[in-house]
Amino acid sequence: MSPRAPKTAPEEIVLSIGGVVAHLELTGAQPVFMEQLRARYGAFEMPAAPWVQRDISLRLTLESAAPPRAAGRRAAIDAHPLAVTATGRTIAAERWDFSVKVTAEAGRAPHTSYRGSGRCEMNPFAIDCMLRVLYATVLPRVGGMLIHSCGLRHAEVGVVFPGRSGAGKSTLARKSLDADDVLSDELVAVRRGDDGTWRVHGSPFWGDFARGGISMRSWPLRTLAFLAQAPRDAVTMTPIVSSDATLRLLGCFLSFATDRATVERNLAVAVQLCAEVRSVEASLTKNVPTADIFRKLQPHLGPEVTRKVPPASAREMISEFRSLLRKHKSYAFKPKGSSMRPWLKSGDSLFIQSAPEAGLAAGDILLYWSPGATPDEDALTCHRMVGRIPTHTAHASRYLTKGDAMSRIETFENGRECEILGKVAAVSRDGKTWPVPGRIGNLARLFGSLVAIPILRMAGR
Amino acid sequence: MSAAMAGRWRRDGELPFQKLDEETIVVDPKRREVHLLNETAARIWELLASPQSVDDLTAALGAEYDVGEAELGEAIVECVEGLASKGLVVTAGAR
Repeated sequence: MSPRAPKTAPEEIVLSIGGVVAHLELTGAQPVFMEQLRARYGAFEMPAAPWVQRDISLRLTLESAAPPRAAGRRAAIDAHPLAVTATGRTIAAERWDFSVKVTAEAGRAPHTSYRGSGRCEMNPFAIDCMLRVLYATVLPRVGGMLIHSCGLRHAEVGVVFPGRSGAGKSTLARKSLDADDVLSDELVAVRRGDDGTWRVHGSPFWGDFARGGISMRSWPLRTLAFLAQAPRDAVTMTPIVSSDATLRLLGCFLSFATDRATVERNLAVAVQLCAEVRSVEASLTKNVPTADIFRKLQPHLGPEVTRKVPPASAREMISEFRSLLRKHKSYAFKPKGSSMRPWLKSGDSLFIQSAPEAGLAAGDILLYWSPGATPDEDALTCHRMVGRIPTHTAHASRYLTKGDAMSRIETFENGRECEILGKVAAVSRDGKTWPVPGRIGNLARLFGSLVAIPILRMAGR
Repeated sequence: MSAAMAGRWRRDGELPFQKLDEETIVVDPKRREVHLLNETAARIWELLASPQSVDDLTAALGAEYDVGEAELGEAIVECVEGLASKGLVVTAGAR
């Protein structure tokens, strides 16, 4: 009898797109495929902690992708076009390269979670199509939608330019002065925030621009600017009434299921959105500069477009911080709390440096994303690294950390329960900045605190 | 009035719709079409919740619109024909 091959644990990835959290458990995923997925969805990935409230939980068995020119491939594609059915509680989608089914389960009220399983070819296009279908079907059930559009951040607000294929969405994205302001050139998520206002979220679902949003951060949606072709190189913005806007929006509303309940739900969301958000027809050509577009759009954006508004949730704030850190390699952060006293004081600014795991050592002060159950329960934690223990998975380590003012040691698996964003490189206090002491100095502080805290506690009894 | 218009009509009960201020949006998922009905068409759509002949519609709308009966009847026939051509209304016996 031959020895049984060791079972490998399924890979996990948790995405938050438009505030909808999807947990994918991928059985049979090759490391190179996971790298592909993380390259595409990394900006929308969050730690896969089991306590994070999930809207979609999908167990997916990955199968080897058939070569595009394999015998019978064309016939299989023709015989199994995309088919989506959405009955009251169940969403099923299948195509030649995937088949999934999820069913709604009542969660912590008013939360509903869709749980299910399926199979999918180990092919990024198959996964992407499946995710688009699931998000397009689930988002309207939580009062949102995926809109075929180019979404742009402008100052502190968001503008959505809906348009069908060929309307100029990718061209508009390419003309953006800062590519990081592009939320997507293909599909953006729009939904009402907790404060009742509409917000636009970036997505990893891109078109010819070949990159999506850079973080989970959403922006107050100020205007729907429906793209139209101008007869000459000029730009005009013509206000349109909500009924006309609804009609146009429905043409750009990504929806796969055609059952009555789904269509009624989508229609209701579209009507609400167009009744509450300004709409214009943006008539322009590909040669019109972006600055001209926004100059003409300015009167239709409403007041205070430059007024800073905080992110909608702690999760969005942390995701945005991560994107800035990835972009600049180091970034300032002002911690709250007292767990690192006396080393850190209120009002200190920390300079965080992104650091690969191999570059982290005991004594370093880590900044990491500690997810909570809901987006507002997420936290950025800044604690000193005590040690690192390898885990059963080759690519993950278990970290031991501690606040200098605390006796308790915390432990987490990096990437799963928390995500290390970087380490503190320097501290700024009272106008002076000094680098964080070297490793030896940090270790001395660490051991000092480990010993000192229990003694102080005993003395206080 | 054409012979085809002589029967009773009702709106297709399968089609989702939403009333706006004065207009109504009707979605036809099978054809993947969306229709925006103006105020008059929206009112006819509303009346066609139950089977109605053109004469019924003319009588109902005659009390609401300040227009001659013949002119109103023609406008209603044109509207119902338009709705029927888009598959939004069906004869009362259908489906």
